[in-house]
Amino acid sequence: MNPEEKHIISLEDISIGYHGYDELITQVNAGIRKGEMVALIGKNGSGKSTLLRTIAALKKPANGKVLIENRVNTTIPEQEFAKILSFVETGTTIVENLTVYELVSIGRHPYTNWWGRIKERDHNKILEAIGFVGMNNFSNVPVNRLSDGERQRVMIARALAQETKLLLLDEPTAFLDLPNKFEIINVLHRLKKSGKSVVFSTHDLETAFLFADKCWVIHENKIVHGGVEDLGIENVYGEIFKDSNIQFNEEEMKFIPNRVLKGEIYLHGNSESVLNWTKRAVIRLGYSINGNISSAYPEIKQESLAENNMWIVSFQGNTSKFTSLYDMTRHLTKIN
Amino acid sequence: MFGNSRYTFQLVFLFLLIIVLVILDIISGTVKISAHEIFSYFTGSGEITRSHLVILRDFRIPRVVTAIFAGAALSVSGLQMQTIFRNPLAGPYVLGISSGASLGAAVLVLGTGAIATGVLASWGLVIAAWIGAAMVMLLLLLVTLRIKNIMTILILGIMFSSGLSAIISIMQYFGTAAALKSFVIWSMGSLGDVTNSSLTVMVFTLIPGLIIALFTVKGLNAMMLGEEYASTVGVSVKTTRILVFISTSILAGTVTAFCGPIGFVGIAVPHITRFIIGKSDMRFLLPATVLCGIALMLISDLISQLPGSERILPLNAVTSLIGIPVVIWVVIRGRKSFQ
Repeated sequence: MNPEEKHIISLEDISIGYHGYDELITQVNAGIRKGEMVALIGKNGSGKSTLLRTIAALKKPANGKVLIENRVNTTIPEQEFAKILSFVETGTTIVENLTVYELVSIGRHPYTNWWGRIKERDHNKILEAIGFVGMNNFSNVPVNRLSDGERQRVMIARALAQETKLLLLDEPTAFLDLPNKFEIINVLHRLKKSGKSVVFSTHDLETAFLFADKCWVIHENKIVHGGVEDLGIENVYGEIFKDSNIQFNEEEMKFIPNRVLKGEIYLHGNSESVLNWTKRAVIRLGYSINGNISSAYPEIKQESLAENNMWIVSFQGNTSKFTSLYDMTRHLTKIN
Repeated sequence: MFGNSRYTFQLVFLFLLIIVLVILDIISGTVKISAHEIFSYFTGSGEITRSHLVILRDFRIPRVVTAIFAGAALSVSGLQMQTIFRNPLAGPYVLGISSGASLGAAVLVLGTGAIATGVLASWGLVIAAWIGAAMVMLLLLLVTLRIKNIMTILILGIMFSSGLSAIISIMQYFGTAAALKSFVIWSMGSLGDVTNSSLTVMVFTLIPGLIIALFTVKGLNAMMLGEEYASTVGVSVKTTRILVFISTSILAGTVTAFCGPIGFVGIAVPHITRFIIGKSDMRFLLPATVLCGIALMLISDLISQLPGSERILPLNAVTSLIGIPVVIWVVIRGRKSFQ
C-alpha cells in the first residue's frame, strides 16, 4: 500500500471525554485508509464507544477534529453524512412487530423521499443487505422473535443498506454466545472482502487478529496504532493489561490469567492429541512443562492403548496410575 | 410497497365500518329521522320536514364530523407521543397535554364568564388551549432530554396533569356560577356542542395538524431504533421533535378546546391499531390509527347517546371505560418492558 495514500478517516489532535470528568483520550492522531479494517481495542471504560460515537458525529470532541474525506465530520449535512458513514451500536433495541425487512429499510432513509417510500432500487438494496448477513429467509419475521446474534446481523444489514464507504461497529460480538459470535465474524470476513472501510471495537483480541489490518489500541489516554502483528512485536498487547491479573500469551495469541507457578513437570507419552490435553490440564493447575526428566519435580507418563488412556505419575518414589485426567489432576493437587 | 394485501384489506374493512357507524350515528338521537329522509337530505331530492332538516344540518352532521376529526386527531397525537417518548403509556390525556389545554380553556372561560360562540370566540378558545397544551408538551420534551426512564416521565406527566387540575379547581372555586356551570359541562366532554361555525375553525386547524403528522412518519420510524440511530441515517431528531411538538399541541389542544378533555382515546387507539394490523412501521400504523380512532370515537358517541333512551352520558366517561381496559391490558402484557 502506498503510504502517501489519503486517509478516509483521520483523527487530528483528538481529545475526547465527558464534561466534568478527566479526558478519556488526549490529543491523538490516527487514520484509516480506504478498504482497511481497523480493530479498536481497549479495556472497558477506556473510551472505545465514545471514540466511535465521536467519529460518527454523535458527539463533539473536547478538542481537535475528525476528518472524513478531508471534511470535519460535524460540518457535513446529516443526510449527506448518512450516505458516507453508517454506525451499528452495541446491543439492540427491540421493537415489537417490526419485520427484518422493515428494520433494514430504515437504512434507506438517506435515499428515500419524505414518506420513506421504497422504490425498486431501494428494495433491491434491502434484499442484498439482508442476504449479505445471511438472513434471506427471515425478511418477514418480526425482529423481536430473533436471537441476539440474528438481531445483531439485522442491525448490520440496516447499516449496509445505507451504502456507505465507512462502517463503524461498536462491539459487534459482545454479549453473544459462541455460534452467534462466529456468525458475526463471518459477516466481518465478508465485509472485509467487500472493500468497505470498517472500524470495529472489541475487547476480544482473537476477533481482531482474524481480520483487522490495523489495530488502534487505547492505552493510558493515548491510541497506539499500527499493523496488528507490528503491535504484537512491540508487545503492546502485553503492555495494556500489565497491571491486572491477566497476561498476554504470545504463543496462544490470547490473554490468560496470571498464576503463581506451582512448579515444573516432565511430560511424555505416545499420543500427541492426548498429550496436548494433558499439557492443558497441568498448565491449568499452575505447572510449567520442563523437557528434562528430574527427580526434583513430578514425571507424567501418558500411555494410550487402543481406546484406553492411562497416566502414570511418579514423584519422590511414589507411582500412581490414573485412567482420567480428572483423577490425575486431583492427585497432583494433593501431592504438591 | 410490499406484500401488504392483508393490510389493504384491513384498511378497507375499517373504512366500511366507519361508513356504517356514521350512518348509525346520524340516525340515532331522541328525534327519529328515517333513513329515507337522511337520503333525501344528502341527495337534495325527495321530502324532508323543515325541523328534521335543521336537526340534521345543525346538530347531527356537525356532531358526526366532530367525532371523525376528534377521533383522528387524538389518536394521531397519542401515536406520535408514544413513539417520540418511546413509551407505550404516553398519550395526550395521561401526560397532561389535555390538562394543559383545559387550563388554557379554563383561564378563558372562567375569566370571561361563559363559553362564547361564534368564530372569533372559537379562535380565542382554540388559541388558549393550544398555548396550554404546548406548554405541557414543551415541559415534557425538556424533561426527556435529561431523563430517559419510561416510568419517571410517566409519573411526571401524571404530576403535571394533577397539578394543572388543582389550579383549575382553584379557578373554579373563584368563578361565577354561570361560568362554572358551562365549564363543568365542557369538562365532561361532548361532541355535540360544536356549532357549524366553530366546526369550521376546528376542521381548519386539525387538517394542518394531521398534515404535519404525515411529515413526522419517516423520522419517527427511524427513532424507533433510538435517537442516535435516527441521526446516523440522516434523520434530524431535532426537526422531528419540533414537528411532533407542533402537531400534537395543535391536535390535542384543538380537540380539547371544542370537545373538552376526552380521555384515553389517544393512549388506547394506537395499541388497538397495533393489535389489529400487527405492524410498528409508521407508514402503515399512522393511516390505520386514523381509521381506528375515527371508528372508536363514533362508537363512543353512539354509546353515549344511549340509543333508545332520552339521556346522554358524558362522552369522557364512555371513552374512559373503553380505553382503560386497553391500557391495563398493555401494562400487564408489556410489564417486562417497563422494568
